[in-house]
Amino acid sequence: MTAYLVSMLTEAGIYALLALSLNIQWGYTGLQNFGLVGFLAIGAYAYTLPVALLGWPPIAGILCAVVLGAAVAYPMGLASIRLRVGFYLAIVTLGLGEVVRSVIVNEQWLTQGTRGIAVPMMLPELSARANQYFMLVLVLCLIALVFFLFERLGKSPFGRTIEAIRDNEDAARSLGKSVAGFKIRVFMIGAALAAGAGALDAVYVGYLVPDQFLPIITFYIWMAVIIGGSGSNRGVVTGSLILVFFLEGSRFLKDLLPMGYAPSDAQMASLRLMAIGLALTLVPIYWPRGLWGRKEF
Amino acid sequence: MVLFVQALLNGITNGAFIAMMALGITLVFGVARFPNVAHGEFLTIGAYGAYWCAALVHAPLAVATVFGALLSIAVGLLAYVLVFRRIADRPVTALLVSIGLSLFLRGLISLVAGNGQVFYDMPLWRAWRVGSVRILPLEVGIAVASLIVILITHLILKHTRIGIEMRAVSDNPTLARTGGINSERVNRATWAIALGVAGLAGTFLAAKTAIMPDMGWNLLLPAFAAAVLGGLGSPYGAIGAGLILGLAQNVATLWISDIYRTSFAFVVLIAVLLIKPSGLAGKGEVAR
Amino acid sequence: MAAAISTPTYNPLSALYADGIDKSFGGSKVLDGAWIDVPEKKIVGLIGPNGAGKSTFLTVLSKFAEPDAGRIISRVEDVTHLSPEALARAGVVRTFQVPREFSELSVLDNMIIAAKDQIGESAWKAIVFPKRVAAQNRAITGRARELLDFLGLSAVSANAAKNLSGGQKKLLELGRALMTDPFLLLLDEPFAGVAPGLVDVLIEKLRQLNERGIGLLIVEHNMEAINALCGHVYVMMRGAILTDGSPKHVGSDPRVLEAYLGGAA
Repeated sequence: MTAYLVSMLTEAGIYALLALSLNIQWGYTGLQNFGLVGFLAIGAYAYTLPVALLGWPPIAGILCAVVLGAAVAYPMGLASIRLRVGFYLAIVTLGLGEVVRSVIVNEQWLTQGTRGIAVPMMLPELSARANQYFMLVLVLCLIALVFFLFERLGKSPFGRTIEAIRDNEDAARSLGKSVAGFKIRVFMIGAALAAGAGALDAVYVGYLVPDQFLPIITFYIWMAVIIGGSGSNRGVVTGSLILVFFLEGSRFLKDLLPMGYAPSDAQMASLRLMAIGLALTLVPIYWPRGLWGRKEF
Repeated sequence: MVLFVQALLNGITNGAFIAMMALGITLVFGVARFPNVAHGEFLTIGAYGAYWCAALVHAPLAVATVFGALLSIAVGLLAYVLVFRRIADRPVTALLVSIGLSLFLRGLISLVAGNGQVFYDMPLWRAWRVGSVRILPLEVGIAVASLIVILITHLILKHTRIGIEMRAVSDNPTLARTGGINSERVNRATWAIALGVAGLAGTFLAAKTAIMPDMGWNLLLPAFAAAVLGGLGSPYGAIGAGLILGLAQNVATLWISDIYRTSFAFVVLIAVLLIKPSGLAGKGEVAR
Repeated sequence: MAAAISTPTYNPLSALYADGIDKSFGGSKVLDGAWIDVPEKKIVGLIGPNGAGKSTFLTVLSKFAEPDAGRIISRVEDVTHLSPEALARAGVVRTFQVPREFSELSVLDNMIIAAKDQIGESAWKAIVFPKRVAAQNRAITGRARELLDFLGLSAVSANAAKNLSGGQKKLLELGRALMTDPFLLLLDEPFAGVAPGLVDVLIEKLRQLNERGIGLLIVEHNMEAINALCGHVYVMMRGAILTDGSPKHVGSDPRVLEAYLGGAA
């Protein structure tokens, strides 16, 4: 039972890091990033390949993930963020997940493709159990750190300016603010964090295959952010908990139902898709602020 | 050389599909001011509609095709009336909502129809040979049908009153309204045409390949790339860009792995945004 | 079409000089060889019938739109292809006809954000040098309060900007622009929607700003304000400058009266 709880909390924690990354991009700055799963995958592979195949220490692997995440974000941001309309970033990021997956699957010489790579534990001298606890503690510490940093950043002139940009971009321009510069910087910070979460995710799951990175993960996080409340760091962390509760809960629901009525795994997946879809359709219209949101949509 | 010609010929059909999707996306963008991420699902609905009609009711091909298109239009207009019309003044919200709708529809389709692939029962025709190039009559039929659909849309846009009104609203919404154009009628007509074209594309695609819940979604990124390449809001740009992109994709996959099909479209998209964001037919100021 | 269109005299030393400005949207040409000369520390007016292109001209001058042709020069520098934020940083700042306050923020925060060169706008510096950022913040807050006082907005400084009246929002718009320490303000109808009793107050405030050395280019319909403030006035019609001169000179020019009474821009 405790092993299950540890596992669930770790997963919630990784989602929380992703939600915090989306919050600073969307909640604070108004950037429509639909490529979260792409950055997650980049981080996971950028960590695992050097660590598993070249024997790098975990710290170096995480650094590699973070740097690569920011590096990929830069040209994407440059291409789409400088444009007046935010849709271009949305469209471009929607494609990222698919492109990253294609690269992973196709470049087998590098990524082992669909065969997958085993991800070594961070503390191989200790038991698997100890490693799980360690991961949980690590994730929780990182959440606390990122939360603290982002809250601090949010109240600083940097934070004020990016919120002003979300509020009224042209007004910010008329006051001399480099709108594109701020946006690209925020996009890169968020991408770096998402990639870092990807590295942790790789260790948490223990075995890396491209199929882990389903496009729907991006929309799980969006749901967490919208329900928790755009612009509120504690809101999106709460949203992540709700998300995991819902995901795990839907699994239990299936087990509770009597034999004849229980939906198959495939049907559960479809129902989950419909539920997330319905949430993303209705919540922005009827409950745009969510729990603690500071932003009208 | 043979492979090249083969790729070009297949590329015409591929391009026609992308063109039809891009056309729908750009038409809706013209009046609603947001890119409809759920557009792919209307292609899928068209495909399944035609399939159910043909496989379950044994209706003839033409009837099944029309049924598929009508089903797309019906579901799409329902979505417009129930959802998108309410948020007409909030395009940012509309984008997110269209993503939600896309997920919901895909989930619904996979729940109803299952996740597996199904195949349309098409009569088998022998391939024609021109030199060492194989031409499938089915491909030709689909290409011709697609080009006819595109041509009809062009005629509607150019010569009917509703078509002219649609273009006016897309060019300058405030001016169009003061000019006495009934914007609600134009909205509905635009959506209907975009949906019909997508649905038909779905029925044609169904004749050619496997039908599965993700089929529309898989075409979405190339369709967006084409719409942007052509210039968002420009129907002729979308058509031209779609054909070009379809051809380019097929030629490119002679050298790079077929898995990179979509990635190719992605690279084209980024390139367009870096070089000329307003697209080929670009008019408005997009960059800053 | 007017008989004689006035011609520009090239003056690169001005706070803002532009000539030959063309701008088309879709099929229609909105600006046709427009020009203007705003010398340092002066108050210049831009008037004209509705649809003449005044707002578009201001938009192009502040670089929020690219001119199709022509040049814009500020203090000898060619700024024709500058980004709007770069021009604003250089000291030429515009206000908007419909105020664009940061609605979710307080009036005071709106002012504070506007200040230039804030150390804390760099993400890593905001984290690593909190004390320096806080010190600068205090200085900026002091300046903001002074300006709010000058504008008569002290009483509402803590209110959310979206809750201000139309006239107050216009004053906030002005205050924000002033926080960036400009040498030239481009004001787009600053008197529109201002209660009649406050027009004189605003005129006086703008005059005081000018006395402090800030130049003003005012696009306006309110002739009382134009006459009271402007040393030089430009009349725009159909995207071109019809004539220019002192307010009295321009006010008695029959072509100007015809342009307004003739109705069509």
